[in-house]
Amino acid sequence: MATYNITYKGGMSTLQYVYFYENITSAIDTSLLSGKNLLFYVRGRETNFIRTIAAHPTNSGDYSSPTFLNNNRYWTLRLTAFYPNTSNISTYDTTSNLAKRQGGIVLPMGDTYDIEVYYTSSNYTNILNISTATKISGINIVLKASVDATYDSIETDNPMSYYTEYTNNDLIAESIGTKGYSSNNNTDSQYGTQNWQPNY
Amino acid sequence: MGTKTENVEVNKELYLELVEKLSTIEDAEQQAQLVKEYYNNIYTVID
Repeated sequence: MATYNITYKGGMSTLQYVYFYENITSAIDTSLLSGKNLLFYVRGRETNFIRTIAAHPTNSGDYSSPTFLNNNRYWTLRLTAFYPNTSNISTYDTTSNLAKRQGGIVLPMGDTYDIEVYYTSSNYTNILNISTATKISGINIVLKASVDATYDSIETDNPMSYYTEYTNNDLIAESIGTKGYSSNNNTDSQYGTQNWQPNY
Repeated sequence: MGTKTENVEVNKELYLELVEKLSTIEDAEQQAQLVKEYYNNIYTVID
C-alpha cells in the first residue's frame, strides 16, 4: 500500500505514465495470477468518479499472455493518466473503451483516488467487467491528482477552484460491465472538479 | 519518495484507426493481438 502523486505543471505532456510499486507477492499466492490480467478499479473520494481499467502488462505488453515486471519485493504496475482537456475526454473516455483496455484513464483533477487491484481471466473483449474479476485484498493504492497554475494545457472553463460538498454521500457502488464505467455513477457530482459521462 | 512518471506522446490518428479496426473484429484473441501490435506506435515515451 502506498500513496502516489501526479501534478501537471509547466510543459508536461497531457499523457503520463504513472508507476506503482506494490508488494503483491505478500498479498496473494501469485500462482493464482498466472495468465491473468490485472484490473484497476479507480474511485475518486470526492467526485465519485469510477472507472475500471486494464493494467498494461509491464513485462510482456501482451494482454493475451500478460506478465508484469516483478521481484520478491514489488510488482511494477503502470497506469496511463490523461489530463482531462476537452479533446482527451472525448477521444479517450466518452466515445470508446479502448483507452481503458490499454490501461488509460482520463482523470479529473483535484481528487484523490483509491485504486483497488483485481485479477481477471475474462477475454480481452470483456476484460473490464469487474463482476467477473477477483479483488486482491491488501493492495490499496492511493493516487492524488492535481494541476499547478503553471500548467500549459489548462482550459479556461475548467472549474479548478469551485467546490461544493454534499451533505450525503452520493457514491453509488455498482459492478462495472465491459464498458469500464457505471451508468449509475456521476449522477449527482458537482464537487468543483470536471465530470462527464461516456455514451458508448 | 517521489512518484515516477513519464511524459508520453500519443498518436491520436493511429489510436482512432485501432478503435475503428477493433469494431470490426469480434474475436478477443485477435483484438488483443492487434492492440499489442499497435501499442508502441500509439504511445511513445518522450522523456
